[in-house]
Amino acid sequence: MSTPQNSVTGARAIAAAAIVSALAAGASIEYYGLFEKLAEKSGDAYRIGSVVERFADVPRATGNAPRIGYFNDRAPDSIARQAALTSAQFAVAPQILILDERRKDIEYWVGDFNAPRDFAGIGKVQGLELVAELGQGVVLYRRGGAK
Amino acid sequence: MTAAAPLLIAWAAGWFWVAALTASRRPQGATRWLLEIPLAFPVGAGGSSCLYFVLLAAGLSATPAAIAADIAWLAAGAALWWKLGRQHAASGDGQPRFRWTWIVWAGLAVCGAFLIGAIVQGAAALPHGDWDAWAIWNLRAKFLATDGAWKLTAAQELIGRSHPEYPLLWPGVIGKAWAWTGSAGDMAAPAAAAAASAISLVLLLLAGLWSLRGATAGAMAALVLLSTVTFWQYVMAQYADIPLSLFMLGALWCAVRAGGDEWDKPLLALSGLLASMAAWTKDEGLVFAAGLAFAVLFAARRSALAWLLAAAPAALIVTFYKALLAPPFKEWSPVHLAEFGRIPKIGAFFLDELLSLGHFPTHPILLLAASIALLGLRRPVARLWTAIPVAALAAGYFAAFWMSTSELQWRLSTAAGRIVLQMMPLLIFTVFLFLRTPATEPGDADPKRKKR
Repeated sequence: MSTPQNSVTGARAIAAAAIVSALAAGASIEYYGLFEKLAEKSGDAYRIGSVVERFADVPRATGNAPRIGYFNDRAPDSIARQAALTSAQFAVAPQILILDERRKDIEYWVGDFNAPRDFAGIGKVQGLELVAELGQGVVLYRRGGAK
Repeated sequence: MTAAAPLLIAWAAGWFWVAALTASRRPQGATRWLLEIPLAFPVGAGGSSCLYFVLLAAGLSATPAAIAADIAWLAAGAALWWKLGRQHAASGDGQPRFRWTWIVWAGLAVCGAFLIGAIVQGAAALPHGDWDAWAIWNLRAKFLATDGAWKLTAAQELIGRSHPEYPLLWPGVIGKAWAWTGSAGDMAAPAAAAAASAISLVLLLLAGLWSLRGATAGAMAALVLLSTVTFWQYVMAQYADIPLSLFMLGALWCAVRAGGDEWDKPLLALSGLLASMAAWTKDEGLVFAAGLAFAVLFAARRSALAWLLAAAPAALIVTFYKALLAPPFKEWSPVHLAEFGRIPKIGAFFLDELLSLGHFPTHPILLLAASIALLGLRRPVARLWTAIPVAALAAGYFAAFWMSTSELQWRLSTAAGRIVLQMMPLLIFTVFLFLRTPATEPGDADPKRKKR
């Protein structure tokens, strides 16, 4: 409960209310404008929706295996590589993507390619046999192909 | 939109808990609903998420666990409300009237309209949220929404990309909604949860301070938060930072409202419940909960037992997860405490983040400074203990960066902004708690007062 000594009256109280109200309203108008521009410009920059679509057939094609191997063709240590991995992981979850190519216990491997390549040849180098091209640069492999 | 429906059930469950536990110090009129509805969201979503995790760990499949969690939380809340919540009359807030309050309502109306616009636009432009949403929070929700996959949220293979050591309350909120409706990956649920958190945070700050310091102070506090650009940046990012702020602010408000000549034990219990849910939301919540526990123990003494007992269940969940499931990812190491060169770098970065909270002249720090200068501090300054959780949080953040095992610059650039955002509602609340209240001069005709 406020006592008279803990109340502020007159011009000071009105000024406090007016300053905060006017400036906050101005801020919200400005930030909304910035937000609108940013949304138009970048929006869903990582196109997660289309990643989910690209990987839609992977769970069924891999028999919903809890862990599947993954590799992509983005530049090493790049944001693009990390983004591709992370978005692919979201798309296939609850399956977990394994990056360690030495894991011999992982039967299925998914190649995530940005451009047309010799998918079968790439798989052969890693000891993987091409099973199917799932479209949009997503390629399914199985361990056990000849090197 | 069906995927978002379970959130409403959880929200309704939360209302019963809030109405029951705030009954004896219930504000009257519009304040009551403005307070109970936003406070009900974290209580409902958080409580049912905790139950959901427990049921999954007990071996239930996802969908039955989701339905059972919501029904159990709703039933328990309704029973508590039946016992405690119906008996008390509303208490007057005893705050002085201020005939110029319409000024701040006008400002809030403008801000509110643009906030709703930003939420709608954010949901359309970022349907999957920002990076951490699909890399961490919604990803882990997908595990929690799938039969038998809940333990994979802590898979070692996710270290370095998805923070499997993080707590699971927020993924549980989303995962439970997905499991209920069989719609894992439907972005309506996380988008709705993000919007509900953001709106509830603003309303809780408004109504929480209104009940303690009057409508004008409450509205001014909400306006300062709405002048924070970081709030707008993250409002639809679908991160756990705004929900964390909501839990922390709710816990702090309940503790403050519980105080007085005699501590109100149900309100203290609600504070403990919310604080422990904050700890199950993010590790920063753990630091806050510890700080608030200390503050409540210091201020309420033996009455703090109610707080501790209510905090215990979620605290046990956190302990279970950290001890038995979370992978041993070492995000901090005391070895780095010897690197004193980190201190000025961290200080400089936080200063930069504070300055980046807004633009001149609408910067929230300027608005706070103007409020302090024009309203002045209350005399005597009471309830100093309310500053302890905020101080503990700030100290915890500083220590975390100082001991971080990641490259410091990268760590600061990715986390500092969100951390400042987590603290802002608490800081604003605490500042306005210590300020004097705008009032109409004695003798001025107040159109709202009836003449005797």
